[in-house]
Amino acid sequence: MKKRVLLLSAICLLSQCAVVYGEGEAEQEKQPWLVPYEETVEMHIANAESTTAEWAQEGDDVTNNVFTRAYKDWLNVDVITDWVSADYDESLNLAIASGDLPDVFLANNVQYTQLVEAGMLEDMTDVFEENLSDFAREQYDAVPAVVDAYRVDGRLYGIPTLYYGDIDKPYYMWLRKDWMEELGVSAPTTIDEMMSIIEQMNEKYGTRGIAEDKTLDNLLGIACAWHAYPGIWVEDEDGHLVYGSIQEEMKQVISTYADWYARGLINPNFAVQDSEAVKTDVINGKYGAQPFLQWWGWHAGTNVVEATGNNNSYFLPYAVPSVDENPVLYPLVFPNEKVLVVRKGYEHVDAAVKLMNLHLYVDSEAVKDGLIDVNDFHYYTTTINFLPFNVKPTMGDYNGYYQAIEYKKTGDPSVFTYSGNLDKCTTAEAFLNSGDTSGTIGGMLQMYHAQCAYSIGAGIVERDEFKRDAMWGAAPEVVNSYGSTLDDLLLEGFTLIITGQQPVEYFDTLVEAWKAAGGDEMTAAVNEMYRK
Amino acid sequence: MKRKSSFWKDFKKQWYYYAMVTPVIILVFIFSYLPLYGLVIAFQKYNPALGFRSAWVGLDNFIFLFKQPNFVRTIWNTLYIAVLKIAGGILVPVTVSLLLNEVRNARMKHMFQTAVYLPYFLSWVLLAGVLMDILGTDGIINQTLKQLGLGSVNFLGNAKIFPWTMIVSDIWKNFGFGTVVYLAALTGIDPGLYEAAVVDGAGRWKQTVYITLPQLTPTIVLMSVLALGGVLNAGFDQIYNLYSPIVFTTGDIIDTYVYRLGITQAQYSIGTAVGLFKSAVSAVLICSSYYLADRFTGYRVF
Repeated sequence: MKKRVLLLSAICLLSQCAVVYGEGEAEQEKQPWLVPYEETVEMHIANAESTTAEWAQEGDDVTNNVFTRAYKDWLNVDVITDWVSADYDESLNLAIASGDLPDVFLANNVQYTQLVEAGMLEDMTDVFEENLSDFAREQYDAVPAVVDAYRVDGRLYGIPTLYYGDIDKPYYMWLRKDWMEELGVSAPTTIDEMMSIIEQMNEKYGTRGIAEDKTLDNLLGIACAWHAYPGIWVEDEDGHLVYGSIQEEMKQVISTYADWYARGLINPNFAVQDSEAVKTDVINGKYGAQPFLQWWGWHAGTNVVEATGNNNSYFLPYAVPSVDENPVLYPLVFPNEKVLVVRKGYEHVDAAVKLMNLHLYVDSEAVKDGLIDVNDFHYYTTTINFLPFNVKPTMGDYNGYYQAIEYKKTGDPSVFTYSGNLDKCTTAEAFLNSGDTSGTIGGMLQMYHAQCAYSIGAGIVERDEFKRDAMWGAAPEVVNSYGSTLDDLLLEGFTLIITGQQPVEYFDTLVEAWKAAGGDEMTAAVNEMYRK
Repeated sequence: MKRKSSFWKDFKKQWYYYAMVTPVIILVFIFSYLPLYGLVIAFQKYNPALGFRSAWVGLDNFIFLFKQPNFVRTIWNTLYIAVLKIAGGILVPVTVSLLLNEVRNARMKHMFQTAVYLPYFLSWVLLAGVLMDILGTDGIINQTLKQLGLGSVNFLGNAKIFPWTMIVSDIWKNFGFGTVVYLAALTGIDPGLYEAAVVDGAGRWKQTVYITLPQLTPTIVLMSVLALGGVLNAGFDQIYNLYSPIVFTTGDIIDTYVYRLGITQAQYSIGTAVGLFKSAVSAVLICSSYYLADRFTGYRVF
């Protein structure tokens, strides 16, 4: 610890030298934003509570930790936490109502719109452009559409905190590896082949078809195989925006699912089970197939391996085959949830941007540059989540996949830009080489295994096989006012059709009910706001 | 004039009583009456950034709510489930406490009483998990039914059965509490009445019908009047943790519906409108049931 403090103060000195003597120090040339303020900048923030943090020192907590010290030591910014809440959005609403805002904080999309309307935020357009680090710029340049969604009359009143990239979003069909090998089947190229594998698993291993729960999330996730896009807005031939869940393709999807259900190819109890109950059954070997996102390994994978005691019993992801010759386009809802904003009247808007740079820097090169001891790194990664400056690298996972390939070839750990990805690969190696299940196999199935999720996902990103939600940004007010009730109406109807309590024709009745219940009103509002 | 002066005379004599009750009145005013002001947001398009200065929209929130095609269905479901819960929640504990009262063995009586009281202390979040395991299609009940050759019953997934699952499980969970209340009322009955009845030649049954039940009536009326106030609360905790889209037709109640309508986007106005609507209905019900209780049994709380 003492060593680190020395190191830090040395760097502070160096950076001050850099200010005085200009471009004397190569290290500082790389990070021009990493220059401490001459006078201490005071900044009040608000935090969500953390359940994951590992504290580096005795007495550390949400308000005082490795990051608050880094802010002070590296940039001379004194960050003071005004309040911490487990129910952050609710607390922030109260703070907005009382007008007593922190200097810098995170708002959700609805709050952002309200705050901009009320004129309570600083304009960040120029400060954002001027103070962004190169690395941060790379992340924002990858997703210009996300940044633009926050512009109001061309001005930016907040900075989206981004997400882990489009590569995160597609659903795959996960199939159990050892059973596929025993059955002697290979990767399915058509939906019929896929279902035949699941049927064989049912017969041979007594499984219950596709693991699904009452939300229908998993099955709706692979509806894109039929070019149906439930839950997002799409453009029809005339350029009108229409809701994907009520289109003709969706009827075909639901009728197919009803057929599967009747043939025992979908969990017979899906209508009443929640995802936890289904997960328990997946772990207990009652399923060999589950449509899921790239993080299935974290969801159930490690537990399956532990429960079976068989290191070959994990599932592997397969791209869902298209019903016709057209490629599958994966639905992409507007991915950004939080915006970093600055209260009107706060002077150091640039400090907020710099702290954001700092977070991305910690996530990437700070260890390599020697600012963080590699043994202390996990204190940073576990603490990072709840702080408002936590910007996620949109290119992190995509680059990580290719860096993992490089690493497998060369064994050189320095290929990784994000240290988190190195962890994923070393735990994967420990599992594959010595059957060590003490770590998770999530990382292995995400980006290390030859048949990992990103081996499919990277191609999807490169070919840009995405269907972006036409409602790209905050929803119109009327959409919010219906909450989830309109989707629930459809979910109820889909469930009745799939379980055979209603005929397929009921779909048309359902669509009419949806329109009458407010769907028409919603469609008009979305068209007014987003139609080009 | 005369009355006023007598008040002041009383006040001078008893000022310390008034002094003692003042803090309570202040607290009740601050925490129970002042927040009533917040009800205005039921008539506003509430924006947290503007607070109570939000735009005034009159009855729009209520109209929006009643225009929802499924909202009326939830009112019916709520009443159906709640009324049966209240009825069962009186019948069952009264019967059980009458039976328990006849048990001679004090040890058995206490053991039974404790056993039925236990589930009352568990939260629905916990019990829901247990019930799902017990009532599921491969749960212990359905396995037994299958072995008896009776076929399985989808307690949680069949829209016809679901409300009854809710009613029965709720009564099962809560009847221990009612039993304690009624047992306490039973011990308060003057033994002289029973002695007189025995002298008149009344057996156990006649004693129950002509002495125990009439003596219990005030407690039963009190419990019913109190329960009626909650007739629009069909049990959010329980239903939210056990329902699924497949039973929305019969199982979706006002509270769960409003939860889905409002909670995701922090819609304070709609939430308040529903709360106000429920309170108004409850107030009418409490007043009328209180009036009826007074009318037919001559029982008054105040």
